[in-house]
Amino acid sequence: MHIGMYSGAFKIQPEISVTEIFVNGEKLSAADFSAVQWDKIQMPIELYCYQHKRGKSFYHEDIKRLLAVFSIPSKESSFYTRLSNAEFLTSYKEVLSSIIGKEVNKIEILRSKYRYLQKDDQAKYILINSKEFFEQCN
Amino acid sequence: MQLTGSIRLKIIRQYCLIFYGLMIFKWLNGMFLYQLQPIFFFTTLDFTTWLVMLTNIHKWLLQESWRLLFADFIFYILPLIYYLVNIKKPRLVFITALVMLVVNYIYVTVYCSYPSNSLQGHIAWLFFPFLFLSQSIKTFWFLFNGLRYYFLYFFFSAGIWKLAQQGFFYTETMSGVLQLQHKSLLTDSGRESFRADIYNWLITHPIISSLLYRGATIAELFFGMGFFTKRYDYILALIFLIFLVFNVLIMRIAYWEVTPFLLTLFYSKLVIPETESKINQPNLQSNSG
Repeated sequence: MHIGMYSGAFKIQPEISVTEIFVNGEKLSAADFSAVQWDKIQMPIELYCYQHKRGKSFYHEDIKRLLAVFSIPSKESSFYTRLSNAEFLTSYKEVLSSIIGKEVNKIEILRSKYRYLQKDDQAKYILINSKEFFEQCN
Repeated sequence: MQLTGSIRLKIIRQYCLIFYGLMIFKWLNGMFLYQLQPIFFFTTLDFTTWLVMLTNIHKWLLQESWRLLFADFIFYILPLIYYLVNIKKPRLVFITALVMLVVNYIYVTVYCSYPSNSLQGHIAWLFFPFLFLSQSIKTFWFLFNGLRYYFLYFFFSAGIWKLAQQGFFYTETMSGVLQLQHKSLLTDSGRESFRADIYNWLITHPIISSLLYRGATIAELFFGMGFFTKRYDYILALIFLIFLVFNVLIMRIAYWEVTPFLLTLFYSKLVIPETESKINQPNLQSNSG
């Protein structure tokens, strides 16, 4: 996710969570891709998860209510796609394959937590744990 | 110098040049709708986007890839048509601009509801068609200046926001921003990366990295000067270009699609025309100042 021009105060985090993608057993590295390509790889996963968790309630709690204020009728299906993890992964594999330029036979997506350590001028990130990415999306 | 018909046409031509330059950049980077191959749409907290989503056009586009290509085609062909209409059939300028306004509004909101784009970076394509709706040189001048003020507000408000949210006052803010923005790169310990080394150095030196954040905030606040005088518009244009380059180098965010607003700074000193003249008058081309 990007931090835009309208961002607030930040602190260095002692722990950070990172989405990691393994294709055919090999980890994709952000260093191998341009910023645009990396966005195209990462954003759909992150936003799918957010949409999967929040999309339906976002419609019922906010969108439907606010549109009703202006007497505008709406349907859930216009604002929320019901997409299972398996359906998403099938389509995502195709998209990913076209970005990285090779066939995606096996894909694994993890959510890994790292601890940030700083000693003098050296920054280090120590892996604490990794979990199946889609666990957090349900 | 007064704004004339030929200068107006020059501004439109330069808008088209920027638009098509960015089109090539986007095509090379696989950023056309048909190249993005969106899997689903993402609903944001934006009322105008909801109005487009009510039509279900975003779902219709998702069903077939040729529809995405068709949407790209319509969006990218319109500025050229508008420019040609200005030369060959000026009486059709209003209707062409109106079509462009509607198409841009739908295309941009749909484009940004697929998970890889933000609406903020596409505001030029939403606002410039309003300028193109003008049917007289005088109206064009007023709208053009209106765009300039909006552009100033866009940057100035970002500076105010950083003060209000107090990010400006925390030395650690930029280090925290860099850590979050580049976390994939920073945690990839198995790879040597020159960029990661630079980001890590900035993160571990918050006083130096905060200079970048505070410098950017002061530069954004400087845009407020433009509300009172046009004297520094060239400096503002230069600050904007530096801001774009640094955004790519430090943040890896491309804001290139805001560049059409540069035109409002370059041509800001044009004076309002004394007489009202319609853009479809036959002596348009000879009406240069």
